[in-house]
Amino acid sequence: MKRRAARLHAAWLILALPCAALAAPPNRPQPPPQRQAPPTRVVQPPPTRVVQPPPRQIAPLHVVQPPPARSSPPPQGFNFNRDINVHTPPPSTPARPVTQPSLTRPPITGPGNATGHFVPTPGPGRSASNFKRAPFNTTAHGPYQNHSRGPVVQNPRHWNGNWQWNRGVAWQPAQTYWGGGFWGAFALGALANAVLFGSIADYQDQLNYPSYQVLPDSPGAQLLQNYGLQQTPCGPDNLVVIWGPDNSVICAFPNDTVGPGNYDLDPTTLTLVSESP
Amino acid sequence: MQTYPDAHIRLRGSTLWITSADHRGVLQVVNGACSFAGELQRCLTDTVTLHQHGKTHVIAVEHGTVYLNLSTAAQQLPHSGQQLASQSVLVAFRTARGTFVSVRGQLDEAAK
Repeated sequence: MKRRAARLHAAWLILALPCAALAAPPNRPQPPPQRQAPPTRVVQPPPTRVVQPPPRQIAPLHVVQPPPARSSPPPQGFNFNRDINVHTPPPSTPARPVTQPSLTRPPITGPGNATGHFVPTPGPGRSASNFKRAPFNTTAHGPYQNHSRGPVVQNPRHWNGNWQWNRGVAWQPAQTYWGGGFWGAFALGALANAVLFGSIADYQDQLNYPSYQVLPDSPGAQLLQNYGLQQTPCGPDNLVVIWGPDNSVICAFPNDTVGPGNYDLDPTTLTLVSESP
Repeated sequence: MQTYPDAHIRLRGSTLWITSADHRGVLQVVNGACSFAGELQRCLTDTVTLHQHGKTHVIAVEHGTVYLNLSTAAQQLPHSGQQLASQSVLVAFRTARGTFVSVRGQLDEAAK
């Protein structure tokens, strides 16, 4: 038991409840003393003494509780009273606008184009501005999943074996992030604050697939680097359109290695697979 | 701010199990999208569950990051002047209700 206790390290878990709404600005004039102290903090002064509160007395809620002594840990486990039993929207229905400013149809020319199932040409007067946002799913790929596959564009980095690009560790999507986190830490709950990088409109199903700028040091950034691709906002024709995990999509300028068209991503080997046979 | 020292940290696969010193609360942090930044493994906090008082509570997480140093030497944290010791973990996440949680310490157990 002592050996086990000796192995325990000073692991600290800190919960900081937001109290910005309770914190008064430093320059705010202090309220009268009789209104400042809550009833439970009122100290009755002795009859013969008049106790004046200090002029800059800090409100009780401003007091930062010192960490408890190591010999007396909190008796009731962890305090998540603010967070338990809170119902929030599931990740599949994040709050975000359903209209996008730069909608256009996907490229319809080039060697890597999709079948007509996904990209019908918009008719006259049809607008994609009211298309719904494509749902997030937990599949490994976007809407082209189960479509016939075209040729594989080998990764110029020539990774040997599965997941070698990730040091042999299997990459699994985090379902509460756009693209499973492949393109960076885009939390679904905060996507409304993320800057759009174009979008792809599905005119047949009237769905919109927003795109965001790939974050550095992400697996997606590594993919682009390996292929020598430069990301650009989705929308114009003749781009490289890469469908990633969970209905995510990004676009890039074509180069000598990857021609324009739609591609699926194989995260196992970090390779692109054309959607055109 | 509340501090919980001497928590027990166990890593199983990509899931962290953090047990309070009084053994009454267990925080289960499931990570995903794990990739590498040098020798450091960096994951995104996917789901967090609190097991406490015989009940299970799913805690809605807005976003979070977990750094794992499973190497034999201390590693520099990205965009930071600090290092993460060998066999140590750094967790930081924000819940949907605005609670910030930070965990830092050495792994007591690690198993694949």
